[in-house]
Amino acid sequence: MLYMILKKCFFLLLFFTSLIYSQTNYLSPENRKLFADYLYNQDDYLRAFDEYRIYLQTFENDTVKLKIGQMLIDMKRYSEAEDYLKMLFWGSLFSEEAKLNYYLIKYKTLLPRDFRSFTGQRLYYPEKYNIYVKKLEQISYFYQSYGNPDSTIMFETFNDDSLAFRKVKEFYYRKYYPEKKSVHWAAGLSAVIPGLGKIYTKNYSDGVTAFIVNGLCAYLAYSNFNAKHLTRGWIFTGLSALFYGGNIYGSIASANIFNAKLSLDLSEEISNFFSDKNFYIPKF
Amino acid sequence: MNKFILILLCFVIHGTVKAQKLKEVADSLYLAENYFDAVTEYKRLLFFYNDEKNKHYANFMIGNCYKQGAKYDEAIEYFSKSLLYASLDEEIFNTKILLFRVNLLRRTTQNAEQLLKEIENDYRFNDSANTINYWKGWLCIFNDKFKDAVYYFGKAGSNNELKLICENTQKQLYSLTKAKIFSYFLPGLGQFYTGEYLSGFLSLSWVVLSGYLTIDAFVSERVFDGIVLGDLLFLRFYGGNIQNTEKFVIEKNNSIINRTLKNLQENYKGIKP
Repeated sequence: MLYMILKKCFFLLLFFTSLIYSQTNYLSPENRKLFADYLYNQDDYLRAFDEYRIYLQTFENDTVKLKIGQMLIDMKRYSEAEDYLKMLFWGSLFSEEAKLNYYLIKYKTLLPRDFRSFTGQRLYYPEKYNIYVKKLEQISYFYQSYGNPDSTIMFETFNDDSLAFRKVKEFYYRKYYPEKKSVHWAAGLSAVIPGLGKIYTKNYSDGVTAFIVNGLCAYLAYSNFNAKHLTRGWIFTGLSALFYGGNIYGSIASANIFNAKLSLDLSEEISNFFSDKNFYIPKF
Repeated sequence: MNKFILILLCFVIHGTVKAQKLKEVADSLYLAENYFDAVTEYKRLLFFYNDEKNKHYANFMIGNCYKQGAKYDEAIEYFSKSLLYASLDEEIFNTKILLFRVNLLRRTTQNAEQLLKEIENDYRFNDSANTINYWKGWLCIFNDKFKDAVYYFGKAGSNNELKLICENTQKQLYSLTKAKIFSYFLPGLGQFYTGEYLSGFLSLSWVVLSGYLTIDAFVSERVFDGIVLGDLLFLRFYGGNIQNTEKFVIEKNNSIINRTLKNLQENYKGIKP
């Protein structure tokens, strides 16, 4: 008898479990959150954001709000990110983290000087993460073309990380003391000895070619005039003048290209380095 | 025991019905061309009902959504995932053909060719020779080989429209070899062949003038002058004339091919990549 009752109870339990399972709604807020987490891990922020947003209509969850803020920053939707982060500024466990991300938004949206003056106001300042804001301030100097930051402060800020310290030091010297080539000097050198300006700008093969072609044409012009072959003399004179002018112009262009490349390469390197490190802002 | 099996069946059927419902929602979004939401629902299907059959189907459909949205890298990623879970020959064939088509659209034609070779060498798809030839024809179109495309569309049968289009295009195309040979023998003639008369005339004039100056130098026994003039002027203009011909042929052919592709895109009603 007892065995029969137990057996019935077991089947009843199994039945209700199956019933509950079958009624599991994949659009319930809990399931939406689970699904959003899955999308978030796949870096599908756009869809994760939609799912989290619907989840937040039912539940309050600060972790989700912070996650949304960070996702929106990654998607460059800064004003929306600000709205979500501001919800956490007061009475949340993640208040400081939200404020730090708010400063990251300011860093990304303001001009370098404006960003530093904003941090000076200390509005919603994340005291706990003071060092990260300081790092942002120092990084911002690399994105402006004027002024010269205090190198001691800059290096000290990154003292806690040997790679960052080394890179910041390298970027500092390359930005503020670049080994540029003088355009006038390149032109002058090419005017005196054709091709020398190009060699000065490290364009060796062009320099040697310019020297040979100029020398050859000038010699042939001289030789033809000497031999009274006036037509060919004038043709070679024309060619010489063309190559000589081209060699000076080319040296100026080569110096300009060298300097532009120096600056562009550095900007790209700085940008890639700090972006890869998320500007030294931790992801929470 | 029977009751136990019955309840377990209940359990499984309920889950399958739910997955089916989710699939229907996703499919309706796909059919309504709402690809963004369709991808979300297919991903939801993958997340909640993660069995092999759904994995193949959902990944396949996500790939299709991305293909429709011209996000070819993502489409290839999901079609490749889908291929991993394909169990039936038909599923494998369809997924590989779609991978091939996306590669065509992405202009990674070497990958597309490799995929088509794989399909062709697979004995399971021996019955699909016509389909394979049809896509080989398209591969040739994307590789600018219209003559070969005519051959493959002919082999595929029942594709007279495509065959005719390719034949017409082939007739319009300029032969690069012919144009270059013309320019080798008579500078400027290659440009005349492509209808660029002014350029052809200028080329001819420069080559004649520089040739005259070079010969004149040799005749005056100024050998070194002749060599330099020949190198700096004559060869420069003679070589330039051939390069110029090549450039015109490529330009004109590109314009003809682009016109054909545009026509295919807008007016051809059959299956396209």
